[in-house]
Formats: sequence, C-alpha cells, structure tokens
Amino acid sequence: MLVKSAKSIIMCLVVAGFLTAAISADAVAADQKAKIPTEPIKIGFVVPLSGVAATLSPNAGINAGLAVDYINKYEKGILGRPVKAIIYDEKNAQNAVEVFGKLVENDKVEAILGLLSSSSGLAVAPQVETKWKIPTLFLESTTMALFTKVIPNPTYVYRIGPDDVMQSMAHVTAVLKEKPNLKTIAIGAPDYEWGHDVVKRFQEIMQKFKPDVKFVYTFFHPFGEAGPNFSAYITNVMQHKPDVYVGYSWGSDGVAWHNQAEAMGLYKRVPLVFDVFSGTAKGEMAREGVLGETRAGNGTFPPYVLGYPNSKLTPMILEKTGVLPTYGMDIHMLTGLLYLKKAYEKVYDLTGQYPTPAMVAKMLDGLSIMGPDGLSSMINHQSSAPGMAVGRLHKEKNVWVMKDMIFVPDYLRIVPPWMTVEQFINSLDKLGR
Amino acid sequence: MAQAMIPLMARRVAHFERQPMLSTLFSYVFNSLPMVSYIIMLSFSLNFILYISGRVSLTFAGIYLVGAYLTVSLSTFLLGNSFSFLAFLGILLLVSLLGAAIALVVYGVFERYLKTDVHRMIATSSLLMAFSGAIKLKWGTTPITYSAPFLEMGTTEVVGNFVSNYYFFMFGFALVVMLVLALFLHRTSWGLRFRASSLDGDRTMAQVCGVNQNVVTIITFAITGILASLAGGLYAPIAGASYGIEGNALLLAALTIIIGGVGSIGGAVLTAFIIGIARVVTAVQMPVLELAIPFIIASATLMVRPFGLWGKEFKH
Repeated sequence: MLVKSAKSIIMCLVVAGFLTAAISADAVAADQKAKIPTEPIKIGFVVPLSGVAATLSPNAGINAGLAVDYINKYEKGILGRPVKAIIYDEKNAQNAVEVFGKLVENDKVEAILGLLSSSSGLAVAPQVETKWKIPTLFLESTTMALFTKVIPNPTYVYRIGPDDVMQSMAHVTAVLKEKPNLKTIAIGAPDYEWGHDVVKRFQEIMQKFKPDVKFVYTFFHPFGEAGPNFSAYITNVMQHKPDVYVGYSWGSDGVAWHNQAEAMGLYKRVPLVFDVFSGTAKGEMAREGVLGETRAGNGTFPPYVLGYPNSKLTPMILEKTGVLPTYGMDIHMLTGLLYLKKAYEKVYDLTGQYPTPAMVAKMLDGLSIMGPDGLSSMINHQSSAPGMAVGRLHKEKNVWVMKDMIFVPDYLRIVPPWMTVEQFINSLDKLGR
Repeated sequence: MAQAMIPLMARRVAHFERQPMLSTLFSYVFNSLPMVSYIIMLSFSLNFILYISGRVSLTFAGIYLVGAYLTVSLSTFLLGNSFSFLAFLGILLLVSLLGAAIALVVYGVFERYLKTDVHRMIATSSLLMAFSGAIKLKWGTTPITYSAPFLEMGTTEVVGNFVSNYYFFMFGFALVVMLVLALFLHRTSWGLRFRASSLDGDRTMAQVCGVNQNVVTIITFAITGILASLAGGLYAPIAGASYGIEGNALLLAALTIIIGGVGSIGGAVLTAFIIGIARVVTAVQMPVLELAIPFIIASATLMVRPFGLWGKEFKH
C-alpha cells in the first residue's frame, strides 16, 4: 500500500515536473519572441493615376487608401501595426520602374502592391527579384510571359490578378453556357501583346470544346490611339452576322468602342455580346444585358454577392467615390493586404522573429485567404486566381451590377504547376466534359 | 514571297465573294465620313493660314484639342445626358467663336512677333505643348465623353449598311462650312482681297492697292480658329475628348496638305476622302497598314507630284 502510494506520488511529481518545464519553456519562448515595432508599417502602392489605364481604374488612388483604412479598422493592421500607404502613379513602364526604386530606396517600404499594365510588370519584375528583393504583389499585369519568360523562378514577385489563360477559360465557359449551340464568333482586341495572347487563347480553348465553331472575323484595332474611329470594324462585325461577338477593347479605346458600337446598333444586331471590359467609373462602357467579366466590369462586386469582407469594403468605396469598384485591381488592393497580413503573422508565430522580406515572400507561397473577390490561394510562379465570374450587366438603382453570375471553377482556370499552358489546354476537353 | 501572298489574296477574294460587293464598297465610304469630315476642316485650318498669309502655324492643333474638350464640357454642363439638336448647334457655334478668340489672342500676344518660318514652327510646336499642359491641368488625362448626339440621332440602313445619322450630319456640316468659305473667297470683294494677298497673288502689291494686311491676317487667324475648334467639337461625340488627339490632328492635317496641295478647297475635300477611305479599307483588309497608309500615300504623292495632287508651285 505504502509502495503504491509512493509510486503515485512519484508519478505525480514527474508529471508536475514535466508540466512546469513545459510552461517555463513556453514562457521563455514568449520572452524570446522579437518585439514588434509600434510605428506604422509602410506599404507602397503603384497604381494608374494617369495614362490610358487610368480610364479603367480612375479611383485607384482613393481605393488604395480605402483598402488601408479597411485593414486598419477591421483587421487591426498587420501584426497590430497600423498600415501606412505610400501611393505613386504607375503611368507607364518607365515611370513604374522609377517609383518602385523610390519606394524601396527612399521611402523604405516593407512591401509593394500595384501595377495594372503588363508592360509595367515585365519591366519591374526582374529588378524586384535581383535588386530590391521585397515582397511584391502585382494587382494585374496579366501577361503569361511574366512567369514563363521574364522571371520563371520568382522569389519575391506574386500576382493577384488572373493570367490570360484563366481569363479565356472563364470567357469560353460563360459564352458556351449562354449560347451552347453557337456556330460563329467574331472577336476583336487591341493590337498589342496581351490582345493577341488573349484572342489566341480564347480561340484555342473554344476549339477544344467546340471544334465546329467558326471564327468568322478576327481583328486587332490600333491600341490607345487618341480619338479612335472603330466604325469600319463595327460594320464588318455586323456584316458577318456572328452568333456571338467577343470584345476585348479597354480603357479609352473601350469607351470609344462601346459608344460607337451602340450608335451603330451592334448590340441590337448581334444575338450575344460579351464585352470583357465593361467597367468605368461613369459607366460609359456598360450596356444592359451585355455579358461582362467580374474582374473588369462596372459595379460587379455588389456587397450582397460575395459577403465578407466585400460587404464592408464595397460600401466604403461607394460612399467615397460614388461608384462601385470598376476594375479588379480596385479590390485586389485589399486582397494583397490580407495576404501580407497573413504572411507576416504566420512568420511571427512560427519563428518568433519580426519577419524579414525573404521570410514574408517565402510564406506567401501556398497561403489562402477570403478576400473581397472570394477565396483565393497564392501560388508561386502563378497568379493567385481570385474568384472570377461572368454575368449580365444590369442597372440597379443607378448603379451597374452583375446579374446571373456564372462562377468558373478553379480546376478549369488554373494551370497546375506541373503542366505547361499547352498541356493544360490540351487536357481541357477531358476536364470540361 | 509570291507563294506566301497567294493564300492571303485567296482569303481576300473569298471575303469579297461572301460579302455583297456593293454593300462592302458603300460601307467603306460611309465609315470614312467622320474622318473625312474632320480632316476637311482641320486640314483647311492649317491650309488656309498657309495659303493666305504664307505662315506656318501649328496652333490650330491646340485649338482643335480645346474645341473637343469645350464641346464635351459645355454639352455635359448644359444638357447633361440628354440631347437637343438646336442646343448642340448652339454649343458648336459658341465653341467656334471661342476657337476664333483663342486664335486671335495667340496671334496678338505671340505669333505676330515671330518673323521667320523656322521661328514659327518651333514656337508654335512649343505652344502646342502648352495647350496640352493646360488641358491636362484642367481636365486631367482621362478622356471625357458626351456621346448623346451620336447615340440619339439613330441609324439609317443604306445598301445593307447601318450608318449613324450623325455621320451624315457631320459630313453635311463640314461641306456647308467649306462651301461658305469657298463663296467668301471667290464671290465677295473681301474674298478678292484675301486672294490678292495669298500665295496666288502678291501681298506687297495688294498692300499698295490698299488692302489692309493686318486685317487680312487677323481674319485669317480667326477663320483658322473657327475651323479647328469645329473639327474638334464635331468629332468629340464619336471618339470623346482625349489628351493626345492634337498629335494625330497635326499629322493628318500636314499629310492632307502634302497630298492635296496648298490652297485648294476641292483638293482638301478630295484628299480627305482619299485618306479616310484608305484608312477604312486597310482597317478591314490589311489592319497592319491602317495607321501607316496616310504616310504611304503622302510619300507616293511627293514622288509623283511634289506640290500635291491639286496644288501648284507658288512664286512667293
């Protein structure tokens, strides 16, 4: 009996000893965690405030400020530090490189979010990887060449916007769902790298799903010409009488295209029109009933569609600017901040150290978050592929929103890391069916 | 090379076979009307000052830019998104008067002091940048639009083509303006004084005969301002007012003069048609040449007729 009691006492002492050791080890670890600075964490934003892209996202500067307000108000900043935005104009590729340098070298920012244009992204990315080495999240810059040719093994550069394969997949899916028996398509885009890429992808993918579809008219109009006249293209589209017209004109080209097409009756005479870019602050590109893409549509993220955090962000934008987000990058700014917040906090939790740029960049790979455009995952060498949908434009209480949204599943949009784009497209007929 | 061209040509022929030929040909003409209309007025704006006063001035391109912005701004301010034909005509009239006023101010405080063509070229090129800068300060770099006239006037079906009625209005307006100018030059005593002072006449002799050269130059600048601002105002409902259109305007006006020659109203109209239709045809048939085609025509013209298709060599 005595022996049994002694054994119990010894066991209790051993357990208590272990517990004490564990608690004290934890306390020591907590004491060893680096102290988090209290001053604001500086994040750079490079967004189009002038130039051809400013038409597409005219409130980009304001919306960057609102994304920061959101993260400070509702998410308590990053690691408890308030975020301070330093915003510069993207303008063009040359300017983008200059302001990136300024942000890193003069302003000492810890991370950068930005870039709409593909040409800016292609110019900035190599410098970020080799010289500046800080976590950089491109908000758009959708060309495939970024991760296939320019920086095939990136460490610091990620992309939140989709690439042209993801876009084309979403577009083909939506067009086929709306018009499953289509026979003919006319397709037009601006005459530059992305325009040619996206048309080529659309045609390849469509032919995979519907080999009998004919592209009766394909054209590329001058890109960014001041005061353009597209009437010859519009007449030719109508003369070919396609079942569907797919248009990729954007920015100031897009506004002119939409007005001219409307005046010449294209929207009445072609059974289905898919205007990928239907968004501007004033709604000049939006037409009732026309199909548009969420990433590029006017007012396509109404608060009631995607829930939190969109339900809080969108009213803030509406109150400040009077319009809903007009382009994907308007809300990708918050997506980017949420990614950074999660990466910083995860690094700190795991290592106890204040995150270095390399740690944050490493941690971003594979993270998933619920952003204003739905659930998305950050994949190295790829785009984060935020939720993308296609829907019909509809004016509701003086604001353009999307109706009957078609969400395109990720497995149909995202090229897996182990496949080339060509292999992915070749596998689509099996996947899609 | 020849072998590579055969499939291309076969595709072009097949395309024509699919489309009714007449409808296609008419579509080229109708779709060129907006460009034809604004080129007529724009190029004659430069042509007129060159022909009458013998001066090279690029200010017209700046006034064209301002004309486009003023038309959009005034229309949006006064009419909102609605459209009234008479009100729009009134706005165009007001814009043309403002264009004339700008041209006169620029002449009075700047251009009259420029004594050689080299000075004028350099100084008015710089002035063009000042115009662009002022536009950027006031309106920013995002294009602004007022499309109501274009959208509200509807379309007419002509030979299988749906043509915007605004195109007909724009072309008719340009023709009326040029007709008035032709009547002024050839049927009035003031027109005679202008022609006497022009490159066709003898400025010194006209002055000796009592033609006040200051008045002729001032009116010439005013007419230039009217034509340039009207060209901008009429084209704005179609393409919007955007920063940078002045560069296109300058090039097209210069090329039109190279092709058509100096001083010919008929030449300006016909050249505008040549450039307008050539751009539309290449846009559809060979898009890669769309922007280059005016330069190709101008180069070819210079080789064959250095003084333009309807121009001539002037003594002075």
